[in-house]
This record gives sequence, C-alpha cells and structure tokens, in this order.
Amino acid sequence: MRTGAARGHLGHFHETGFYGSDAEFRDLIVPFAEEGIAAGEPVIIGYDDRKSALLRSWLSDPSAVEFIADSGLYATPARAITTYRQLFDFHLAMGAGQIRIAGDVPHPGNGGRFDGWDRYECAINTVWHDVPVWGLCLYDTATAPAAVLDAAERTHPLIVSPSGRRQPSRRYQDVSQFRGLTAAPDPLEQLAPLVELTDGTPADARHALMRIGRDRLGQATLDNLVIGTSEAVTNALLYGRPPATVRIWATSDRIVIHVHDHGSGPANPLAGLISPAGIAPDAELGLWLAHQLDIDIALIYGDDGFIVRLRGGATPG
Amino acid sequence: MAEPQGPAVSTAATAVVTLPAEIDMTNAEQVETDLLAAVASEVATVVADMTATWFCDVRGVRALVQAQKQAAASGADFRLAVPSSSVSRVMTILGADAVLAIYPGLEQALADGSGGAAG
Repeated sequence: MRTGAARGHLGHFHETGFYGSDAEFRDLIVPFAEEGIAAGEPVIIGYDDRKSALLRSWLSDPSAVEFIADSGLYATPARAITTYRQLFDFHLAMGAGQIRIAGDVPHPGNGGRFDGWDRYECAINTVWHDVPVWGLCLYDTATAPAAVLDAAERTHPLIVSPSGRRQPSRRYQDVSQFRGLTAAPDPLEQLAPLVELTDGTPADARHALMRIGRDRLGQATLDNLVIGTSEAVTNALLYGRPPATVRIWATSDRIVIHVHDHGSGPANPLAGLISPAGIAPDAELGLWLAHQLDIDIALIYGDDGFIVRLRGGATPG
Repeated sequence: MAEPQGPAVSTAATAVVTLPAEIDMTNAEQVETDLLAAVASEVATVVADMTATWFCDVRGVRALVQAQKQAAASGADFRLAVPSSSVSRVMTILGADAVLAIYPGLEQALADGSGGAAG
C-alpha cells in the first residue's frame, strides 16, 4: 500500500523540485522523509556530506533513514540504475509497500559532470515501471546550470514546489519524445589522434589501446576501456554503416576514444541503460555491458554518423 | 590471434578444451563449435581451459553459456578455468556467473569432484 501523493500510482512516481535556499530545500525534503518514516517505508537518501548532515539535523529520527555513503552510487548512470534496482529488490523482499528515494545526480553545480545524466533521468521513468518507488529529485537553482534545470523539467512528469503544491510538468517528454543533451566536447578532440584505425578488427582496436594505455592508466581503467571499446567496434562493424573508424587521443594520464561509423546509431534513446533482461540481441547487450563499467561513455549522434565516446583516467582539465 | 584448439586432453572422464587468448566476434562461433564437440563426445566433464584467455566479449560469453546449456541437457559437467579477473568480471556483470561453474585455475577445475560450481 502506497502512501502520500503517490497513493494508487503504479510504478515509479518521479518528481522534481527546485529550491534556491536551504530553507526551501528543507521544505521540500523534510515532509517527504518524515511521512515515509511515519508510514514505515524505506527512505533512501543519496546526498553528499553537506546535504546529508543538513537533513540529519532536521529529522526527528535520522536513524530511520538509509543514507547511502557509497560515493560510487552515482559513478555512472547505468551503475546508479543497477544499484538502486538491487536496493529496491531487497526492500520489496522485506515487504516494503513503497520505497522513497532522493538523491543528487552529478552536475557542475555540485562539482560533477552532467553528461549522460539527462538520459538517466529519462530512463528511470520506464526502467522502474514495475516498482512502487517514489523518487524526489531536487535541484538547486542557485548552482545548477540552466541546461540542467531544463533537462530536469523535461524528464520529470511532476513538479513539487517548496509550498507542497504539485503539478504536472508541462515540458515533460516521455522516452519517445526525449532529446538528450549533446555531450560537451573534450578538448583533446581538437587535436590529431595518436591512432586512427579504419575498418580494423576489434582486436586491432584493443591492441592499440593497450599499447597506448599501458603507461598512462591503471590496469582496471584500461581493462574497462578495452572491454567497452571492443563492444563498440563490434557494433560499428556489424550494425553501423562503413567505414568504421577508431580514434584514440591521450595525455599522460587520460585517454579518449571515438568509435565512429556512418550509420544513424541505436534508435532507442536509452540504449545501453536498459538492463537487457532475458535474451537480448548482442548489440544491446554489448552496449549495456560497456555502460556498466566505471568509465565515461557518451553516445554522440551527428550529421556524419554515430560516435561512441569512451573516456578513462583523469578528469579533463 | 591464436586459433581455438580442439580438445587437448581427452580421457573417458574429462575433456579439456583450450580456449584462445582473445574471444570476440571473429572466433566465438569456433569456440562454441569446439566446446559443443567436446560435450558431444559423451565425457562426464568438459573443462574450458581459459588459462591463456585475457579477453572475452559478449559473444564469447554467449558461446560459453550455450555450451553449458548443451552440457546440462546431456548430463555432462561443464567447468571453466578463468584466472583473468577482467574476464570473470565480464561474466559477472552479464550474470553468466549464475549459470557457469567458474574456477580460478585449471587445477581447481580438474580437481573438483563435487560436480558443482566453486563458491
């Protein structure tokens, strides 16, 4: 049995809210958490230290709330979807009637990068269609860039105000209408790549990457890039339009890879994020696997084809 | 890239199939063919020796799962020797570790008399 505004709703009840001060943040998050605690529902919070400390100071019983300390929760969009799903499965097995979650996706306003998180906010409207989740995604209007706030309005069917008033988002786009933000360009892309391979095999790309990455990246990151690049090259060769070109750029501590073909890329805007339950085509499974690794992946649709961009190592400076 | 090899060791009880260093779209089908041939030889246990395998993509894992299904259908035990943490992690992410009996080395795969997965 679900409680509060989500009573009677099937699946993920996905709200956003905007605040410009700690007081407005409190007005949005405290009723959400307190009502959940009172109803005996799991309340899961994925905030940074400062916001978690604020919330603890406001709650009547902070110990009733599950604060996720794991900083890897929001490492990548696909990882967040998978991690939350495991948490939901656990709480449902324990008999929860509704699960309340509130977290902060990374964006420049909180020191992170928003690339790919607009797709996440869109994806979780459908990937949790079978779970009684109430997700409250609050955005700080003082720090979040306009493009982030715009994406929040387009990916949340509901908006709640600090006064508690709820209304449908007039700008909401479901998956079929959703247009993701273009990934921010990487400065290395302006330079000539160290390696350019045209219509090579996945093994050619793996070997080139290992040669370049050996002295630049840790083994785990390099392994992840090799796995992701190999799947992207395989998809480009089998499902894209030739020629397929792999370009690799590198500095002393990071690597950027483009896998480019002249096709139109996957039609599904959520490609790679949706867990391919059961027997999925290999192309989807490969892209999903690549998204599960702790590397930065962007799907870039352009006039001259489709690019899977993979990045590993230090954050671009 | 090394080509897949057929059963390297075959006794009445166990067949060991040595898999190549890298498994991807270019040779996954051959890997599956070799493993299915070993399963069809009616031994009690088939061990896929992935000691030299440092890379295995989605298609490779699919081939291994197919061999496992065929082995189960014919009552044979199918085991994998996978020392590479990168390879076993791909299997785990894909959920294949739930159906495959994965051992950290060939000795362990050959030694297990339980007929079940390690761990």
